Amino acid sequence: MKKIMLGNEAIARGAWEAGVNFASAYPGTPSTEVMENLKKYKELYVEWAPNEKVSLEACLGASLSGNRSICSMKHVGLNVAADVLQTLTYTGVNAGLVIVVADDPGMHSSQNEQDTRYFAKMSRAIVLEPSDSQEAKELTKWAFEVSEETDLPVIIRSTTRLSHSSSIVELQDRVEAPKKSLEKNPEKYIVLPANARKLRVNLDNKVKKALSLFESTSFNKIEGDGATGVIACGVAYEHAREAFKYASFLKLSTTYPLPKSLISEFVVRFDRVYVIEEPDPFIADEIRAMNLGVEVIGKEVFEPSLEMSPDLIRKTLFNVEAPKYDLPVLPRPPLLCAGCPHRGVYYALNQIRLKKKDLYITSDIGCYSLGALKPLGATDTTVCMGASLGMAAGLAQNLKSDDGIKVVATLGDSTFTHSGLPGIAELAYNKAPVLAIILDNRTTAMTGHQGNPMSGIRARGDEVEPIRIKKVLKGLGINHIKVVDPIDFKKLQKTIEKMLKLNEPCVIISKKPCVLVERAQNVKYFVDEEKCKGCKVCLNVACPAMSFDKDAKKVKIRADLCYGCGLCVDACLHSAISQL
Amino acid sequence: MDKIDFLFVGVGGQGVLTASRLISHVGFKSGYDVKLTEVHGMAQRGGSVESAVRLAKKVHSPLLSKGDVDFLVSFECLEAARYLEYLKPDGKLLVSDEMLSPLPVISGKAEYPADIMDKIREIGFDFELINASKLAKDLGNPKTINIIMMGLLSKYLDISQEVWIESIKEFLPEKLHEINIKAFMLGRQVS
Ligand SMILES: Cc1ncc(C[n+]2csc(CCOP(=O)(O)OP(=O)(O)O)c2C)c(N)n1
Ligand code: SF4
Ligand code: SF4
Repeated sequence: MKKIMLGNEAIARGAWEAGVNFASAYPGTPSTEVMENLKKYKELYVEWAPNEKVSLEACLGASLSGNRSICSMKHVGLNVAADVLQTLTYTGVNAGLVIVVADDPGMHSSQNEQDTRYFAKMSRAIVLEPSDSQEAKELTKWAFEVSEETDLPVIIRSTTRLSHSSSIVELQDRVEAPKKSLEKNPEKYIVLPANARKLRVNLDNKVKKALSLFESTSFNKIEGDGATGVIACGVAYEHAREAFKYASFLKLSTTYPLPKSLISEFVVRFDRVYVIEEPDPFIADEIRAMNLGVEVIGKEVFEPSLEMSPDLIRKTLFNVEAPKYDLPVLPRPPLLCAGCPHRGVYYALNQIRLKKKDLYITSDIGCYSLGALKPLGATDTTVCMGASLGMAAGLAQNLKSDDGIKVVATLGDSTFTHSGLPGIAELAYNKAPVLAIILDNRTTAMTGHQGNPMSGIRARGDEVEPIRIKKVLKGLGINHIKVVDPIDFKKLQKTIEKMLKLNEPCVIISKKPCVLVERAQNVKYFVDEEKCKGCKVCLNVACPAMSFDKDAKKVKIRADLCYGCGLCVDACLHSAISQL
Repeated sequence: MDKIDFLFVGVGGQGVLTASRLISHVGFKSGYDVKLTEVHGMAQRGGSVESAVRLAKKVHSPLLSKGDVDFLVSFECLEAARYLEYLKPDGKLLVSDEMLSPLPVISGKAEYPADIMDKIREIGFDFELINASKLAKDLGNPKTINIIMMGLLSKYLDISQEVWIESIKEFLPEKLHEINIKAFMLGRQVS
C-alpha cells in the first residue's frame, strides 16, 4: 500500500516497521512529529522526556535491556544530549539505538543553524541522511540493523525541508526484532579510564566496520552521465536534481563515516565537482582534505543563513535571477494569541518600567519569546533553553552595587523542567537577587501543546500528579514564592513590585492555561466609539483582535477574535473599552 | 500538463495546510507523483503561512521556483502580494478578499495597503478575487473558506468532480463532509 507521508511520519513508520519498542523524545521544531506519529502505534512504549539528554539516556537504558529504541530532537537538542552522545559511541549499544536529529537550515524556527554532522564526527556516531519520505522510512529501518552490526548509535539527520515535506511512501509490515537479553558488561558500560582507553581503540574498528558497509550500500548511488559532477545529500540532493539539468550525481545517504573510495572513484572523473549540502560545507571540506586534485565547490560560495533551494543554486552558481516586484508588502511576524496569558505578564512588567523602574528582563525559549517583539518589546535576551536564569544570576551578581536596575527572568513551564531547575539552584545557592517568573500555561505550547512534568499530562494522554512546583522551589531554597493568575494583572503587577523590593532570589508562578488548551473565557470586549480618542495607546498590548480603523480613526475589536482577557481595558486611558 | 505547481498562502489559522493536503491527496489519487511542503512552528501564531504542492510524473525538490508556479491560491490579499514572485507570468492567481491586519497595522504603526489588488493588476497579473469569507458565513461555517477556494481552483484543473468529492470524504472527518462538499460546490460554481 502507498500513502502520502510527512518526512517525520515516515521516520516514525520506519522505526515501527523495524520493530522498535521504546521511544523517548523532547519536542522541538522541526522534529516533533516523529514522536507525535510514533504515539499512533500501540506496540511500543512512548514518552515525552523532560529534556533531550534524559531521552537519550533512557534510550540507552532501553537498548541495554535488549529493546530497540529511538529518540528524536531538534538540532539544538543535541547540545543538551551531547554529553551522552560523546561517550555512547565508546560504550556502544546492545539493541539498536537510533537518534533522529532535525537541523533547521535557514532558521525557520530556531536560534541557530548548527550542523549536526560535526557532532557526529566528534563523537564518531554514524549519520544517515534521507532525501525524501520513502528514503526516510527505509534508512530509519536500516539504521537499527547498522546500529546493531557496528555497535554504534545511528543518527538519522533530517532537515526542516525533509521533516516537513510529504511524499509517497510504500508501506510494509512491522517485523518484531528478535529480543536480545539484558546486557551486563562492566568493561563496556563503565567508562573508567582503564576501560575507556580500550573502548577508544575499539571505536576506530567500529567506524571501519561502518565504512565497509557504506562503501557498498545501494543507498549511496551514482546516477546520470553528464559532464558536470555533483555530489549531494539529504533534501539538497532533490534540489540539485532539479537545478542541474545535465549532470552526473553521486547521491550520498551515509555522511559519517563518508565512503571515501566511492567518492574518489566519482570525483576523479571531473576537473571540478559541486557539493550540494546544508547548512555547512561538511562533505566538501572532507573531500578537499582527500587531495584528489579536483576543484571542489561547496556551500562556502552560497550566502550564509539561506536555506538551500533550486532557486538558490541557480542564482549562486548560474547567475539566474528570480523575478521581483515592487509591492507595499508589510511583514507579518507571528504574535501572541488574543488572550494569551503571557501577554499579561509582559504588560505588567512594561507598566512597572513606565514608572521609571529600570528592569533588565531575560527571557527564554517558548511562545513567550514573542514578548520581545514590538510594541510589547518587553524582554532583553533570549539565547537558549534555560538561559534566562543563569544569565539573570550573572547579571544580578554584577549589577549588585549598581542599584536601580532589577533583574527579572521569565521562562515557561516546559523550559523550567527542561533546564530551569539547575538555574533555580544557582539563584538560591549563590543568593542572586533575581525575580524569576515561571510562565505556567500548563503546556509546551510553542511546539504544539505537548504535556510535560509540570502539567502531568503524558505522551499517550494519561495524567499523573504534576510536579508540586511550590514544594520544589522551597526545597531548592527559594524563600519567597507567589502564585498569581496573570489575568488579574493588577495583582500581578503589585506582586512583582513587592518582590522586586526584596533583593533576594524569589519566584512568581504566573498560572493560567494557554488559550488553545483551555478556552475558559467567553466574555467579549468592545470599543465605545464615542469615548475612543483614536490615540492608539491601547494598541501597545499587541492583541490580534484589535486594530485601528483609519477611516473612523477609532480602534476596533473583532468580537470573533477577542478572548475576553480584559487587558486592553486597562491599557485604554479614556475608559473606552468595556464588556459587551 | 506534465507538471503542476501550486502555492497556497494565508495567515495562521486559515486552513492553508488543509487545502494543500487535500490537493496533494487529489493529485495522488489521479496518479501523479506528489510533494508537499508546509511551515510549522513560529509561523502558526498568526504569522504568514505557505504550503507548496507539486504534481508531476516525478517530482524532485519539494520547493517551488520563483516565476514558475502555475497556481497561487491566497486566502488573504496582502499574502497574495507577498508571494506573487512565485507565480508564472501566465499563471493563475486566485484570491479570497479577506484583509487581515499584520502586526504593524495592529500596533498602529502602518496602514493596510487596501489597494494592493489593484497594484497586482498593474503589474500585469490576471486574477480571480472572490468574497469567500461572506460565502462561508452564508453557508454557516466561516472555516470553510479554504474549501470554497479549492472549489474555485478545481474549475481550472482537469480532474473529475468525483475524485474531489471522494478525496474530501477520505480526508476530512465525517461530520464535516456535508458542509465541505457544499462549500466545494459553491466555490466551483462561482463565476
Ligand atoms: C534544547 C532545545 N530543545 C527544544 C527546543 C524547542 N522548543 C522551543 S520552545 C519549546 C517549548 C517551550 O515550552 P514552554 O517553556 O512551556 O513555553 P510555551 O511555549 O508553552 O509558552 C521548545 C521545546 C529548543 N528551542 N531548544
Ligand atoms: S499558543 Fe498559547 S501560549 Fe502560545 S501564544 Fe497562543 S495562547 Fe500564548
Ligand atoms: S479583551 Fe482586549 S486584549 Fe483581551 S483578547 Fe479581547 S481585545 Fe484582546
